[in-house]
Amino acid sequence: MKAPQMHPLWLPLVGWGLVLALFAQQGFWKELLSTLFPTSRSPVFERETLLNLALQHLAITAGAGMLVVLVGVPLAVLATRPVGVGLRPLLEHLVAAGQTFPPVAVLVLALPFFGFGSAGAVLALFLYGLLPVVRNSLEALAALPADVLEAARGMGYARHQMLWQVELPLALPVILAGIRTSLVLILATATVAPLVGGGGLGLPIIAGLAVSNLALVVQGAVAVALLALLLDWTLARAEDALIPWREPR
Amino acid sequence: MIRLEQVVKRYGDFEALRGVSLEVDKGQVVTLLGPSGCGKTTLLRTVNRLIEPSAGTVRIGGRDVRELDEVELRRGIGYVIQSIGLFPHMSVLENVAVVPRLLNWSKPQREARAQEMLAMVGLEPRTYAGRYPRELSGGQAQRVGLARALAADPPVLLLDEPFGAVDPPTREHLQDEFMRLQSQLKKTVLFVTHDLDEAVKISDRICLMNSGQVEQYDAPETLLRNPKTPFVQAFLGPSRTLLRLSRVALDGLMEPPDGHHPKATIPHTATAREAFSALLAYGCRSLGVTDEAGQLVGLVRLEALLAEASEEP
Repeated sequence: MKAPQMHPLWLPLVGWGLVLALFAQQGFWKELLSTLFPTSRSPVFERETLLNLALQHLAITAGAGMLVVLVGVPLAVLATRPVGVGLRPLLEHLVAAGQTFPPVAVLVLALPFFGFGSAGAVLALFLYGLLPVVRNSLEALAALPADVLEAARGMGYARHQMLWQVELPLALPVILAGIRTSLVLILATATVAPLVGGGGLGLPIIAGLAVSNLALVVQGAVAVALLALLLDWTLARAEDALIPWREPR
Repeated sequence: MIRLEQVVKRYGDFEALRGVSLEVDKGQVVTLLGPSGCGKTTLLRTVNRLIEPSAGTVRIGGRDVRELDEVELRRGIGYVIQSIGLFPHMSVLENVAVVPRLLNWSKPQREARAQEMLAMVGLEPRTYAGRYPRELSGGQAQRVGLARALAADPPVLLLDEPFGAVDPPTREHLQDEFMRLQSQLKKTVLFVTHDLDEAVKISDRICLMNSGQVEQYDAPETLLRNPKTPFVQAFLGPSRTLLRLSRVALDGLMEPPDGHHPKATIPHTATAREAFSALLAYGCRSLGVTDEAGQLVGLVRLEALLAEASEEP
C-alpha cells in the first residue's frame, strides 16, 4: 500500500499564506528595520502597507505573465507549423531583441502611449519576459521524439489532434520551465514599475534610493526576493503536478 | 487484400522503389526482407500513405488508398515501428486505447478493450495498465506496441521490424507469441525485417528485396530450395538448407519404433533442423521421437533427413 498522496500544491499554498501574513505585520517590520538601521528616521515605507505593496507587485507580475503565456506559446506553435516555418527566425530575433532592450527604456518609451500607471509597466515587462517562453516552446515543439510523432501519424491522428493530444503534452515540461523562468524574471524586474507611476515593491526601493534611506531599499528588496523564491518553488511543484509521467526528480 | 501495382518512389534522382508489384492474400503474413536501404520500409509506408508513391497504385481490399481519407485509412490499419513510439505522457492503458479513442469509442468501451488487449499480449492488466512507458522493459514495450496496433481490430497490420530492438531470447519469445496471436486473429500482415531467420520462421510468403526491386517472392520453403537469382542465393547464404529444415515438421519424416531403445530422443514438436542437430550432437544415425507424456512414438533416421534436405529433383 502506498501512503495516501497529498496534493503537491498544498505546501506552496501554506507558504503563500505564511509569507503574506508576515507582510501584514507592519509593526514587526518597523521594529526589525529600526533595529538594523538605528539611524534611519523612517525605517519602513509609510505611504502604503507592505502587504498592499506586495499585492500590487503580484498583480503587475500576473498581468504581464498572463500576456507572456497567452502570446508566447501560440506564437511558438504557429512558428512550428508548416504554414509558419518562415516566421521562426524572425520571431527568435524579435524576442531576443525584446529581452536585450532594457525594460527601463521600454517603460519610458511606452509612457506616451499608456500614460502614467501600471499598464505601461505591464507592457514593458511582457516584452521583457517573452523570450524564455517563446524560446523554450519553440525548442520543445521542434525537438519532439520523431518515433513518437511517426507512430502518432501512422495511427491516424489528425493535425489538430496531434497538436493537442501529443505535441503540446510532450512539450509541456520544457514550456513550463520557460514559463517559470519568465515569471520569476518578471517578478524581479517589476520593481521598475514605479518609474512610470505603477505600484508594487519597487516603491520603497526607489523612494529609499532617492533619499538615501537604506532601510527602505532593504524592505522592498527582501520582500521581492521572498516572493521570487516562493513563486519559483510553487511553479516547480505545479510542474510536478502537471507532468506525472516524467521521471521523478 | 493488399495489392501493389508498379509502385515507384523517387527522391530526386534516387529511385527508392523501382516498380514493385506485390499481392498479399487475406490472413497471410508476408515479410519484406532485404538489406538496409533496399526499400522495404519505404514500401511498407506506402500502404498507410505515410509515403505517397511517385507512380503506381496501392490497393487495400480492392480500393485505391488515394481515394480514401488518409487519417481514416490509418485508423483502420495497425502500425508498429521498431522504436515502437509509445506515448510517454500516457499510461499503458491510454496508449493501447489510442485508436479506439480516435474512433470515438466510449471511455468504458475502449478501456475494457485495452485491458483485453493487454491480457492477450501477455501483460496482466492490473499490473501494467497504470504504468507509464518509461517503467516498461523493452520486451514489455513491444507487447504494448502490438496491443496498441490491434486494439481497434484492424484487418491489416503493418509491422516495421517490431522485434528489432530487443535481445535475441526475448525476440524469439515475441515471435512465438506473435505466431500464436496470428493463428487466432488471421490478420493480413506486412512485416518488415532484415533478419532471415525471423522471416523464415513467421512468414507465409517472403518478398526478398534489393535496391528497390523484388528479387523473389515465394513461400519460405520455395525461396530456400530454389533461389532464383545470384543475389537471393548470396543473401540466403550457405545455411539455407538448414533454414529450410527449420520449416519442416518431424511428423512426415517419422517411422514407427523398431523395438530398439534409442540412444537419444527428441519431442515430436521439434523441427527437422533440431533433429538433425541432435543427430550430429549424439553422433548417431537415428533418434527416438516422444510425445508430450515422454512416450516413445516413433523414430527418425538420418537417411530421411538427408532425403528431405536434398535439392535433387
